[in-house]
Amino acid sequence: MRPFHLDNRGSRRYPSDQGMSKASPSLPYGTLDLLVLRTLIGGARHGYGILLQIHEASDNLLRIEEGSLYPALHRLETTGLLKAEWMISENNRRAKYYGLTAKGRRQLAEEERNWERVAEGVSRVLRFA
Amino acid sequence: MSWRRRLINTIRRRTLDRAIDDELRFHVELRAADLQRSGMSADDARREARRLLGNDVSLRDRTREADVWVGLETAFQDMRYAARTLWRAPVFTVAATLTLAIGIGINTAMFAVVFGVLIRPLPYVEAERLYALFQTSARAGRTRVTPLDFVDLQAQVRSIRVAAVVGNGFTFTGQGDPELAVGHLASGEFFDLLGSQPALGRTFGMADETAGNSDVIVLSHGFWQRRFAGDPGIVGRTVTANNRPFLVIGVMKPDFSYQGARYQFWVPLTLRGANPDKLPINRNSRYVQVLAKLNPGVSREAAAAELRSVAASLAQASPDRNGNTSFILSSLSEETVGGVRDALNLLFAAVLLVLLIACSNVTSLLLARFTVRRPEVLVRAALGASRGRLVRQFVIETLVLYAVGTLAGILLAMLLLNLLRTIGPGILPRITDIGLVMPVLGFACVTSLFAALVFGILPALQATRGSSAPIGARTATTDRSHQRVRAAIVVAQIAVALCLLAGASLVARSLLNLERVDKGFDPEGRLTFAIVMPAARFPDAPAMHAFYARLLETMATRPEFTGVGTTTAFPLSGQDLENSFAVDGYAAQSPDQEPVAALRGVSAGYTSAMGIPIRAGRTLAPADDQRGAPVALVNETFVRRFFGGRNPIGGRISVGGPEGPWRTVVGVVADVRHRALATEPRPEVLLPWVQLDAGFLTAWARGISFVVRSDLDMAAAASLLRSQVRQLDANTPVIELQPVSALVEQSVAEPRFRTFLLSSFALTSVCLAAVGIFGVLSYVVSERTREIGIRMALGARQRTIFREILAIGGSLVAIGSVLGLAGGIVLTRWIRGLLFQVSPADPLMLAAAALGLIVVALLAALIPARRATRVNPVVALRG
Repeated sequence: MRPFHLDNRGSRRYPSDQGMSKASPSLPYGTLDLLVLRTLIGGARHGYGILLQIHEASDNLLRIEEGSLYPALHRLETTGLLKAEWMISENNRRAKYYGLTAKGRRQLAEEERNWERVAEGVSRVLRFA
Repeated sequence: MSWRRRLINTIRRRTLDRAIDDELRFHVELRAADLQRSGMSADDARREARRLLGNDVSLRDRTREADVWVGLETAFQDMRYAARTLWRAPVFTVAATLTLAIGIGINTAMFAVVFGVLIRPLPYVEAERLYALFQTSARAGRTRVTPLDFVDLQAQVRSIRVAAVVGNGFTFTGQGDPELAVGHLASGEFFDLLGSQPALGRTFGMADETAGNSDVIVLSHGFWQRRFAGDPGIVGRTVTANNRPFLVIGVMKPDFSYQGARYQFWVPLTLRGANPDKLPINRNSRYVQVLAKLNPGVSREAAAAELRSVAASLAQASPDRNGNTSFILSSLSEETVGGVRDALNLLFAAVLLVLLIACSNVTSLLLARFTVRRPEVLVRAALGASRGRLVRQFVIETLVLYAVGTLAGILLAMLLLNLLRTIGPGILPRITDIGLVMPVLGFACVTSLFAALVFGILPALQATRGSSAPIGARTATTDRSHQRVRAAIVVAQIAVALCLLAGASLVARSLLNLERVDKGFDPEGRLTFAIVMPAARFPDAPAMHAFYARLLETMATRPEFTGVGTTTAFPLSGQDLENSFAVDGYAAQSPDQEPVAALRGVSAGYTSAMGIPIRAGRTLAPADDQRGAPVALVNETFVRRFFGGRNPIGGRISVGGPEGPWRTVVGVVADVRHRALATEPRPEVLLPWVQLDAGFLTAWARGISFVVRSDLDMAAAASLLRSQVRQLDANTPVIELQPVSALVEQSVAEPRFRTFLLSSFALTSVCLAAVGIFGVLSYVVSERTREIGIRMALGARQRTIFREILAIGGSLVAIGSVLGLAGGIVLTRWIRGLLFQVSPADPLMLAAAALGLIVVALLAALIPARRATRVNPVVALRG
């Protein structure tokens, strides 16, 4: 099975940033935000850690365009869904760790509900149409 | 919250950039380490890690855009860019900044004047409820109020509170030289109505009036500082004025004044019963100024209605004196500044027009400049800049230019206002209320921001028009569309400048007429001065007569003085008194035609000392004294109005009523412009001073004015007559000593000031318009250099080229002048009130203005036209 590429299409801010992964199937807008928020539920991570975690958790089914991740993280930070902190990483380097804020948790819960409703709706249509 | 974080990030850009770099580098390192672990070489792993991250410049930018306020950040960039470009074009920048500084500077200064004088409320508590109250009658027009009418009015009226004020001079003695100072006698309500608090001690109020404390005095801050050296223990001390002891009870704050800084103290005024100043208490001496304050919640209309009914009931109570009399209100601010309102509004309108021309000149400069920068626009458009983005950049450049111009303009305004403070006193009321206060600065900023947007958007749009045109397309002639815009600007500038010039020339012509008007007296070689007779030392008319007679006699014996006279109301001094008369043989058709005339008591030598021509009969003689028959002189207007075609000499008139005593008219004097040079003469009666009764004499408590004619130079004559007065009585100060010509000067100071300002504004606008036409033609020539070169190579003659360029300028000037003349005829109608003996559409003045402007504009056009003839075909074609 070909992996889904999560590029800017998956983020709400740059829906028209085209041509980066036309060949891959894409996901609805906002998916990248949802995945990032979900990944951070277990605690703060740095950008590369978030990337690996999404790949791992989806059994490499979802691949994130690395170029899209950081703008998305910074956007989530400025809108207050994430809070960032510079900490010392596992390899003893300074790294920027992102964690959920209360607002981020609420947003995650809501987006999860939305996602489930949309997914259920889509799969019903696929089943019965 | 997000906007605040973005704002911080936008401002702390460098910190943000470093953080993003660190974050991305960390990512690449971890990725490279992972790749290396899976078997890649160190170099390959690093390269691959970078590749996976994508274009790092673009990534960094996109990451940053999430963090910053993009619009603000690019605005900062544009500003930096604009500052750099402006810095690199110093000639343009200086020219544009200077133009703007002039436009904005005179605007700001003028607005400061308008704000301080016309807009700011008067510095009293609830000043909008303060009014001046006048008595009116069809016969005498608007006058002050008689003391008994004031007393009755105060007792009856409910919707307003009133205070009586009488200006008076007091001679202060005791400490230092005797000094005459002018102050107000004011009734107990005065300070309460104004709501003004003292700096030291207390003011007087109703309690003092009821307790009969009439011997207290409140000093102005300036008077306290000057005469009493700012003595902190002044309150409680006793000072001597008019030979009466006064207890100082208070000192006002420095910014307190009523009717100007001239009035330096306040003393209680008593109109009930005997008053120590011996003011006449009756129903026909209209000398009381009334300050009125509407009670809370009372409208002006309601108060006016009540005043009408009070006047009616007063008329019933004493029908002989109050018939036809009413009371009217006029707002205190109108009374204070009404005289200069029209002039200030005109001047403000004029500076707005100057600003319009200045801004359009800058627009014209910007158009030319942005056209030169066309290649830059095309390159940036080709690289993907949107039109909006390009327009914004040009607009921001214009904003930066205007910001600099505004700063320079505010500096200029400071200079202009300092200048105004030195020449303004005596010309403008409320001069101390004028300053660069916040609302004025706000006005300056808002105006220039507005102007920058309005006048900056056009060049920006023009510069970015068709930004997709091929780069480097070469033609012999260039795009002309912006030239059309600039030509239109020049036409408009010429038109506006001509309107201003037309207005200025009409006002200037009025001033000239005013200065040349037949004043009815000769101001040259004459001095005037006054002395005041303190009531305590000269208690009655005979005492005053004796002193004046002695003084006149002494002076008449000096050969240096070729004429000496006195009058109770000197021309152009502001003193005047109107009285009703009966004229034998004249019957009024209606009450408003009853004879009313200005009344003056003069000495026998007055008319000749003053240079007033005698039109018929004789002047007054020394024999016309108490023992002589009652006589009078009348002026020409009086004769025209009340004698019809009859011979006035030998006719009889009576001050007051038909019961007499009758006076015989022995002569007719020329009309004197008494109130102001621009005011038509009113009927006037001159009586021998010695035949006036004591009531009249004491009513003129401010004193008698003298006129002295002398061939000496004025300073020598002044010191001679000072010594004469001193010899007679060392305690009687000579005041208001000045050449009569100075009074005339003073009376034209305000018209002259306004004419000077308006002419300066008009000349500024003409210069700016000339610069405008010069700029446009220069640009035309530089753009057509190639074309002209080709034509000259083909044999065109210099004269042809010269005429062609001049014709462009000429046609612009011609169109502009026609529009300007049309506009001038319409606009100058509004300044009719400021004109004197000249019609708003005076063809001569309009033609002169147009001619002057055309000459200047064509001179400005000559330079570029000459340059066009010097185009060297070889150089032009090679370039």
